[in-house]
Order: sequence, then C-alpha cells, then structure tokens
Amino acid sequence: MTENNNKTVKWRISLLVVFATLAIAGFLLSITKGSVEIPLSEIFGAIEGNSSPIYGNIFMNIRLPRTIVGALVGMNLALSGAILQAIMKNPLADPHIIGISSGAGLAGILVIVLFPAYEVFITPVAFLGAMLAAVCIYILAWKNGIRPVRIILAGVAVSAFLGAGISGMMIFNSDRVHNALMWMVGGLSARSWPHVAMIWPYSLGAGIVALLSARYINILQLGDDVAKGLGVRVELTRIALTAIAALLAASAVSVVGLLGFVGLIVPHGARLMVGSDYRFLLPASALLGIALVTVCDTIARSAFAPVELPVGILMAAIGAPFFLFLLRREL
Amino acid sequence: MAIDVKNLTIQLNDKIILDGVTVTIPKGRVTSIIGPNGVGKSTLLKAMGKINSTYQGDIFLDNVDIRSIKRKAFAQRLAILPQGMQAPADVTVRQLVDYGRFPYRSWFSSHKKEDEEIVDWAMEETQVIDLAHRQLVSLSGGERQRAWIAMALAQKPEILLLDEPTTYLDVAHQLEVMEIVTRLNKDLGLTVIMVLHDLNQAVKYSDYLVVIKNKIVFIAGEPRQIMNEALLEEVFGVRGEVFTSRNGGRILAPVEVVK
Repeated sequence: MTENNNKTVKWRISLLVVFATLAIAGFLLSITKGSVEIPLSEIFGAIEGNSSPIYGNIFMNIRLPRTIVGALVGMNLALSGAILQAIMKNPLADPHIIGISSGAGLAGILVIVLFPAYEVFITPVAFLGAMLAAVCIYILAWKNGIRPVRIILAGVAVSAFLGAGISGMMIFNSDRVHNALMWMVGGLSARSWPHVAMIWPYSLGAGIVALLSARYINILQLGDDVAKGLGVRVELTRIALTAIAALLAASAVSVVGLLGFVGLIVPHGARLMVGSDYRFLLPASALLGIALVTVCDTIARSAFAPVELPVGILMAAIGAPFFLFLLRREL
Repeated sequence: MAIDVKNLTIQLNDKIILDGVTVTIPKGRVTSIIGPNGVGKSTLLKAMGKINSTYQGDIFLDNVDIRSIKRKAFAQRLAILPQGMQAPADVTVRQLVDYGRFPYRSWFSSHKKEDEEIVDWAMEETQVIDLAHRQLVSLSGGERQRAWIAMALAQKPEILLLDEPTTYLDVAHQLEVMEIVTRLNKDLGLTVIMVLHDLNQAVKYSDYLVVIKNKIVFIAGEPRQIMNEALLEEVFGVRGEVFTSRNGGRILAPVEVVK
C-alpha cells in the first residue's frame, strides 16, 4: 500500500524533473537559435568573458535578457492561472478571461498613450489596473459565495467594458496605435535588461509565496465550508491569493503585453499530467510555462524570418483550439 | 457541557432563520438535531462549527465564547462535515484524510511521523484503510462518507459535527455510517452532534434530541422522553404511531399527513 503511494509521489517527482529539463532545454534553445545562431561553446565563452565580440554582444544584450523575460513571463502567467483556477473554483479561469489582463491592459495603454514619458511606471500602474479589475469582478460575482458561472459572466462583462476603454483610447490617439497594438498582442521583441529588472522582483516574491501557499490551495479545493472547518480563514486566504495571482499576471502583462492563454493551457496540461495536488501542480505549471513561452518565442522569431511574429499570436493560435477542446471535454 | 448556545439569532439575506435559540448539548453523548425541512437545522450546526460567524447571541465551547477561539485552534477541538462535500477527482482517500492534519501544521512544517500514524489510525477507525490509495471518485457513496469522517477524525477533535451524514446512501450504508459514529462516541468519548433527516435513526442512535420548529428549539431531551405521537403531529405535521420495540427503543410509523 505505502509502496503504491511512494510510487505515485516518485512518479510525480520524476515528471517534475522532466519538466525542469524541458524548461532548461527551452531556455537554451531560445538563447542559441534565431536570426544569428550562437553555438553553445560561444555561450559558455561569453559567460567566462572570452567569446568573439559579436556573439558576446548578441548574447548578453539581446538573447539572454529576452529569454529571461520570456521565461519569467511564462512562469508568472502559468502560476497565476493555476492559482485562479483553484480559488475561483473554475477550471476555465485564467488572468485573461477573468479580466485581470484587460485591467492591466487598459492601465498600461493609458500610460503608453497618454503619459509616454512615464513608461517606467507601467508595471505598478498595470498592477493597480489588474487589482481593480479583480476586485470589481469579485464584488460583482459575490452573492452568498462565489459561483463559477457568475465569475465568468462578470469577467466577460468587465473585460468588455475595459476593452471599450482600450479601443476608445486608441481611436482618439491613433498616432500611438502601433505601440499600443504591439503591446496588446503580447510579444518579446526588443525586451531587454530594463524589462528583466521590472519583472524579476515580482516573479521571485510572488512566486515563492505562491509555492508556499500550495497547502492552503489544496484545502480550498475542498470547498469553503470544509476549508473553514479545517481552520482556514477562507475569505482572507482567497483575497490574498487573488492579490498574488493579480501581481503575477500584472507583472507579466505589463512587460510583454496581453499574452493570452498561457495561464489557461499550462495549468491544465500540468493538471492532466501531475494531478490536482498543488504541491506538485504549481511547480509543474511554472516549469511548463517557462518551457512553452521560450520555445514558442524561438519559433515565432525564427520560423518566418526575417519577419518576426509576436509570440502572443502564436500562443493564441495554439491556445484557442486548446480552449475549445477543454470546453468540449469538460462542460 | 460541550456546547452552550445562548439566545442565538441568525439572519440570512434579510430572512430570519433562527430566532433566539437556546440549547445545551451534553458532552460525550450523541445528539441529533431534527425538525422539518428549512427550519435552520444546518444553519444551527454551521454556527456551532464556526463556519457561519454572523449571528447574534453567543455560542460557548466549554464556557469559552467560540468567537474568541482562533480558527486553527478551534479545528483541533471540533471537526465539522457540512453537506455536499466535494474534492478534486484524483484525490486519494489517504490524501483526503491527511488534510485533516492541516490544523496542526504551520506554513513551513513538513510531514511528521505522528501525522502518518494518526492518519492510519483514523482510516482504521472508519474502515477505509484498505481503500487508502483509491481515488475518491471510484468509491461508493458509503465508502466516500467514511473517508470524509476519517478526515474529520484525523483532526483529533473532542466534538464531531455531521450534517445529514446518511442522505443519498442506501439503507445498509446508512446504518454502517451510524454504527461507526456511535462506536466512535463509545470508544473515544467523542461528542457527536448531527443533523438527521430520518427520525427513526435519530431516535435509535442518539442519546439526546434537539427539535427545531418555528425558528426556535421546540423541545430537547432524551428520545424516549420526548418522542411520541403528539410530537410527530405538532412538529412534523403527520399522524402516526410510536411503538416500543422489544429492547425498549422507539419505532416511529408515520401514517398520514395532518390536513
């Protein structure tokens, strides 16, 4: 009996090792492939400071920061989606669908369009936008507890409302539409060290708290009443976790734009493989998120060279059919 | 006394559910809360279990106001299984029962040997140890209910609250659950408080009955003393007969609705 149990735990741990390998492979793929191929030997050279200057320059100033941003964005969105799916009691919740992204989006576009001089503040402002959207949806969906259908509907309504704001802003400021549009699609083009600096503190802080919360999330999955009976302060925990999810999503979205579906695909894929125990599901989601975004970005920028596709387009092209597949399967 | 409820009034959505309930639940006994549908039996149970904390009046656990007890400390003393419990499809029995150790863990603490032993013990007590590695979805209703009771037991409580633990089970599984509950009461001295739908089960398995009607406690006492034809008619609106069985227990036979 215990053997059986150990086996499943061992199985899940070995899956995590596989995912970690995938994440590292995606990371390496992303720093070596592109319009210029950098051999791995040159990368190790660059780390030691004795590579050829061209390779070293491309590696240190373009590939490496871009890959780090992509990895952190993938991790944040996947963790955010995984948390939201549990605390909203909704398998289809992700930062995009429940409006956190559009909240961050509208706030970000406000900065891009109206106050371009203050673009450094885009992350905190987008964070505020995400939190406001999350709180709105929470209040709108609250009526003696949370019902999944109400969350989805409130999320759609709030997203539509915020979307109107985004569109209006772009129409009245058509000279800046291109920037805003690129930002809305979500891409990693020209992302460099300043963006790494924007995102990593959020990834680290919120990521650690998220991983530590796994046990609480597990209990919340048993329903509010059972969780209270087991000693969880349910409303407080849910609000705190919503804040963490919003923080993770906002930091990602404010750096790369409204990258869709990572937060939906990755946690679901991870759940199918490692199960619903969040002590395994959260790290699995984080690792798969890193792998997916780094690999997709590598494809997006090299498959159609010299045209570089924003990674958001590729993600949506994969994400939308997957979403439909889930709908067919689960509802 | 295990739990003292004093002048409890609960309002949900502007509707008064309970209006000045005062009752004392005896320690170390099996108490059942009965009454017609929608009279607030579950609401009373949830208030005693600190799930619903918006009420007027007071509830005392061993003379301490439960509002002043921290949630985790409370969960170490009282376990409650509400109605309609659900868990993710792939949760195993062992994992579920292990969740019962949650109140004893802090943010960083890992699994302790002691927890393992208590989880094993809880599964043995409710006879689900052989199902430990089965997923909850693959179990029958009765087995699943026993697994949940094992989870509550892993909390090592003094008091166990159950909301209609036998609803939706076939009769053999109903009796099985009731027998486990009464055995836990006898062997461990566990105070059991349940909401029950089936009057015969309530009479047979409880030491004490609390009858709720019109938002208040209509009567409370030992089944033999309070359960009779008049109570059936007044509280439940049915005419029926109450027999005394060979071993002195009461058997209720509702016959017709009082017009």
